[in-house]
Amino acid sequence: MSINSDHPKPIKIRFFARIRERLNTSEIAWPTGNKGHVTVAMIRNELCSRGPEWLECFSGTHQHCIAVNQSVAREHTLVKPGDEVAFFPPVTGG
Amino acid sequence: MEFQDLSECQNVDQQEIVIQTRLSAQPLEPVLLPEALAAGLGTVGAVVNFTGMVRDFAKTGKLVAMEIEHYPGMTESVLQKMAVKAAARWALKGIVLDHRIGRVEANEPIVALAVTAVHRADAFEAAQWLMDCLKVEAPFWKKEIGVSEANWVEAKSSDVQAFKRWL
Repeated sequence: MSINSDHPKPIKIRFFARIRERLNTSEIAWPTGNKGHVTVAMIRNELCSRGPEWLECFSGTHQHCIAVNQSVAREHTLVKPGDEVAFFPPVTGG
Repeated sequence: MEFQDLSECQNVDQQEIVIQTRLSAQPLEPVLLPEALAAGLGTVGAVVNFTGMVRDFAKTGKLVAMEIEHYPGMTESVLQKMAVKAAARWALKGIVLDHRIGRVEANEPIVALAVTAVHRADAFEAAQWLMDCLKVEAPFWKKEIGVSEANWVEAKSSDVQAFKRWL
């Protein structure tokens, strides 16, 4: 995937806690190319194709929560260039 | 887990209600009446305090400490929205909510909450709701640090049920 001539900002994808550890990364940049708006589901599907540990984290067998621009999001939530998407396990504070 | 969007409570009128939510990398020192709430004492008839502690045991044995990860920015925002929502639902005078981040040793406080109200029922209920809400909506993740291993804490369905009773 390559960034087109207009150089749209990539989507920042962040991972927390168990997911961050499993992937051994806390953040990646996801080039949007010519796609314009994408959905969380499209991003998740692409992440699944990156390798077995990615598939393990995002195939749906493990529960995870999603935020877009630090607000709760769903699979169908639209994501635009420059947005921040986060994947994390169910929370355990307090 | 039902991870709810609290964004609808952003415009709640906070008139005369003191709200202070903080993350702290330093040990918490819970006090009966936090300084921020002392100003409104004249009409306050109830102060409810809750302090959550890090236990010294886990399923896998002795627990040395807890490592608290959070989502910078979103965590602060969720805590603030929770407090605003509580202030809209109950007749409160003030809320001070402090939560630890980073490494918290066993037997240290991990969360400290003080809620003031004219009447005790509002303070009790709001304090309980705030903790129930925090447990399922605030982006914190705890890792238990044992003597020889470390394990992420699993989210509990009982916490989800505890919060659902308020819906």
